Amino acid sequence: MFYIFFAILSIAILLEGTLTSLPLVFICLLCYLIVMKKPFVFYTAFFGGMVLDLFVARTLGSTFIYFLLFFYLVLLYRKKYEIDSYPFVLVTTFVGSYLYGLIYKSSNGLALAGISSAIAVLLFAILKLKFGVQNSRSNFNT
Amino acid sequence: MHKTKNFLPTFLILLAITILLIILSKSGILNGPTSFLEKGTVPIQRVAFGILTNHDESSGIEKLRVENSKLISELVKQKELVRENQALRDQFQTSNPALRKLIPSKVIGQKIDKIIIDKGFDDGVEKGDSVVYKDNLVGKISKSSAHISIVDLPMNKNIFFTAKILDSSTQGVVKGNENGIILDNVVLSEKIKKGEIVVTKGNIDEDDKGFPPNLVVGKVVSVNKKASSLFQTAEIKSLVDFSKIETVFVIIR
Repeated sequence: MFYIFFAILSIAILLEGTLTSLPLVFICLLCYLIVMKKPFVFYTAFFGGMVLDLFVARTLGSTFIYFLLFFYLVLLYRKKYEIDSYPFVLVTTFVGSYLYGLIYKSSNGLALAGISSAIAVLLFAILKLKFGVQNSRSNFNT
Repeated sequence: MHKTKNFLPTFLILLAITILLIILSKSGILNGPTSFLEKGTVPIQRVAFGILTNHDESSGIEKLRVENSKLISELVKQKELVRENQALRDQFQTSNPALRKLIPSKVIGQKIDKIIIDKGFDDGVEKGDSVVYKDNLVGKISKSSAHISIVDLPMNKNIFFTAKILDSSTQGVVKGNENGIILDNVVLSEKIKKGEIVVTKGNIDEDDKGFPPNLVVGKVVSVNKKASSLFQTAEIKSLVDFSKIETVFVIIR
């Protein structure tokens, strides 16, 4: 599972670092967090965020701090509600991508957020189909 | 349950490390390690961009585009020479512009309204420097790290500068927006025609940052003139195809 995810994440880093303004790394990590619910996502996010910062000349750590805070909020939400659902993925990605666009000054923020949501739902469906929602009980708390 | 207990400290430790990293990075202490790491990531980025874009400059349309751009550059130079001659005759002397240097840079990343180039402050590139391709304006450096820089293209909403129509010297302000490049704040009494060339007026500041005069911004493709408005606007199309550009030049002092 991790190797496949690592490959997807690497492609996302390369695409976001060179061609697209879509927050692909954020989408990958968010879907992985929702499906796997493992603290390891944060370490992967740390690595992904740093490489992305190097690729797009951002201050080191600035991308990861957004990932960290946003994912923490997602996990807080998980305390009361079920997060393994398509509406949740759709709304969370839309809000997250829009904020990401605002913070990192991407143009066409709403359009990018819309496309990001669609990609996230697709990726979530693939991950869920392939691996199922794992560790739904034996994971971490906020 | 072990993970349940340990997550919050992990979160706080990662948060503390990241805040520390940001502070060190902002203060410049991490410039050395960042520079070292970028030396490794820039070639990867360059190769990835080359594979993902697969530019083909040998196509007929591309050749014509380059030729067209070259001819317009020559036209701008010629018209400027005529004006300069006139000014020389009148004044018998001309100002001596500060010596400038061009740094060739490879494009290693491309977004909607910005590009990433493989030169940074280690190469002398700084925020605010102008970026050109031949005599065409490509944009302005908005961010620079050790080995890479971000260039805001003219359609970026953070870009605005004074410009003029080459033939009539009609002045206006070029602004980027989501629809493209707009020449705004042109008084209604002035006439703008489709196809006219728009060039930079020149707005170098005391730090020697900004756009030099007579860089080609683009061609007027449509004019929006309403009697009820204070100003008229025109839509400009750049002569440079930003999606196909591979090498640009940064103007530094």
